[in-house]
Amino acid sequence: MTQAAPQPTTGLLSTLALQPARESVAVLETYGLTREYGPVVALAPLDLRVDAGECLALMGPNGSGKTTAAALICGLLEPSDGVAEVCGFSIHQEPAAVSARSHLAYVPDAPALYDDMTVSDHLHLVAAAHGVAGDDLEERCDQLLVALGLEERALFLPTQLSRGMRQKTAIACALIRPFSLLVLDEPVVGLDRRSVDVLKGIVREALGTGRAVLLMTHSDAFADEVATRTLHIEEGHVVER
Amino acid sequence: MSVEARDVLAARRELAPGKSVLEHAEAIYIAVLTVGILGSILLGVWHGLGPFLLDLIRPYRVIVGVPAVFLIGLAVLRFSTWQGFVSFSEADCAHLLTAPVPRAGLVWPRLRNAALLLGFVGAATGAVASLAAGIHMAHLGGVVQGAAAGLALGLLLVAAGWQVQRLPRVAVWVLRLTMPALVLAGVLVLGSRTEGVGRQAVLWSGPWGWALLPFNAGNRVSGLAGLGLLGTLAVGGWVSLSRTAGSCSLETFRARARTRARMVAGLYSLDSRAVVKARRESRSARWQVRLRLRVPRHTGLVVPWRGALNLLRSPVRLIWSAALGGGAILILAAAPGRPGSLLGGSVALYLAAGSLLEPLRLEADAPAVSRVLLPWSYGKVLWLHCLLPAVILIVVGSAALAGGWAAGLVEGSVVAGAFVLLIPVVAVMVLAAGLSARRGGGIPTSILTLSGGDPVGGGVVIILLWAVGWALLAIAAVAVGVYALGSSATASSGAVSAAVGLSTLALVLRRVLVASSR
Repeated sequence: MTQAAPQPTTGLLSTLALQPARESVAVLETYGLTREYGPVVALAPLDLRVDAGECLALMGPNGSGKTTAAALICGLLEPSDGVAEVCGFSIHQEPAAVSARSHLAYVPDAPALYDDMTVSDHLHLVAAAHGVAGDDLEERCDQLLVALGLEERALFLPTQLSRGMRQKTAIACALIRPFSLLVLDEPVVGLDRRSVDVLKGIVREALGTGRAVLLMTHSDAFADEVATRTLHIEEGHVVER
Repeated sequence: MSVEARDVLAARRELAPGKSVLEHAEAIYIAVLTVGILGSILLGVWHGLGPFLLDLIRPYRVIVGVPAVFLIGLAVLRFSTWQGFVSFSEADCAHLLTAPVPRAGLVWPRLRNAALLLGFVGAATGAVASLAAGIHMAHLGGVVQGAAAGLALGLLLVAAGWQVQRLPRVAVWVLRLTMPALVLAGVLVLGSRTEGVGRQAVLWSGPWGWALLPFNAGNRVSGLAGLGLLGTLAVGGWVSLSRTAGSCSLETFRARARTRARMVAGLYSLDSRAVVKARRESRSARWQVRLRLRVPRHTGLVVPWRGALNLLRSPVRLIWSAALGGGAILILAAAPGRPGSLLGGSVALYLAAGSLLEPLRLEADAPAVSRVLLPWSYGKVLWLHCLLPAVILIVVGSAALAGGWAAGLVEGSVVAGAFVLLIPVVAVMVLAAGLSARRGGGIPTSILTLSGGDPVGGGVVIILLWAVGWALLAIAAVAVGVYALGSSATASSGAVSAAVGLSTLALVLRRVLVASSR
């Protein structure tokens, strides 16, 4: 397991007002988090703890349960059993889930974007929805778009973008807003080498500024470079710590 | 190595033979039986009502005829911008059209069949129209002229549609010129109502008029001339079809195949929203209104801001919905005691609200997106989507009430009560439309199961109730509320009690909407 050296490199996150995790609680904690589809156990009881400044890589082959775990942790799926808490707030119980979501930025494996909004609209929407649409919003948008090579595509709709460009838009949406936990589900699929390097820098910067990162991937190379801890998962079960 | 298209098609037929002769015979038998039964019924009706109907139609045949033919032509051209007369399946696009086979050989049989079919339909329609126009069977020449005009028009429509299908730039121009063409249709209607020069100008203004010249009683020469012009164009169209059959791009066929497949899948799964989306996405790549709107700093305004962006980028929908909503409120206020006005106004207002809620439908299409991008619960996002349509309808409704009062359409005794009722009426309509829209277009399996298990045919009622239940509730509540305004001894007391009732209903609907989950 490779220990990453967390240090700010991109400057993309430095202007954002970070919402720090509450004292004495982990950024992410799950207890017995389970998901079953009838007799099929997609995720066996999962107990995790990720602290500030830590990048946990959840690794495994296709169909091992990584995306199910990410969707459960981010509140997209309801658990069959167990609890997931982000900065001490349950992601599945309203109204606590609102606070949990304000701490959580998620880049899903299939970019979640509105078909009728441009790349630039998405950044403005997310920033405003999280209360950070200040005077410097345009500058931050431009900074992110340039860093991710999206500046020429700012006025494009998602349907007019390639898979990689949509992935970059989803990443930009996650970064334009403050967060304590960044969940990246297969983030490098479809990305060019330059963008992968930028993403590595972003992860390192996030760790260096007290945030936590949960990474779902089957790319050993990417995980080796950024993760501080690795878990392997197969058939829904954690097989190695 | 090039392969003969005819051989490929023959091999394909051999591998996928299609229907047997017996199956074709069965289909023909059923068709003949159906046509025979329906024909007998129609003939009976015709004997009773024919002369009356002829008398009714005859004075309007040119008024209706030329604009009608023009609009049919426009509809065919619009259809060709996203589908057209020649289509292949996605599998054909992947395997057949990418094979080293001359494309013209694959396209021409379909193009020819479409032209012949539409020509036949046109000829039959022309012959029937000749009879309906009073050209007696004894004047066989007149009927033949009518049939010939229909045949030529059918061929011409296929030829024009094909050019739109194969040339993307032409398709874009068809879309751009649709509104001016609709205005022209209005001019044709007005021109048709005049006598003398105006009417002649309409009849000679283009193929849509030439096709009607043979029906122009008392002028055989102009009929033949129109037929000659139309025939010449049709022959030219046929030649262009045969010469350009191979010149449509694979990209065009693939896009249309994808759209068709998605629409058919939507129809089979009874998902109206999927059909609408497939149709809409077929043109989204060509049309995009580029507009930016300053993002609000207040987080509660973010979702309405997104809605405003969507509506401003679809100005036709915005204008149409606002006009419909304003008109509906005016109708309700102008005659609050009349059942026709209550029903028409309520239905129109519900439709306007539903149309303005398109951003909410987009949210329901991809419910996971708001979970990833926005900090609020799904139900709250849906509720926030209702704010902008409500504000729009309240503003246009206020303007309509004020304008109607100034113009004397709304009585002075009613106008104050109408203003009191405006907000609760709009709230109920928008929230009910939102509750209906949040479900998407697909009928849930539970409803299908429930309706399928009903042996006495009540299944259709169950599905209909599911589909329009919220609409019925809102329309009934608003109609009763507005009726109270019109029937109460003092309009203000009726308005206040109706406003209280509708406000309570709106609060309940809001609670249900906010409790929505994905």
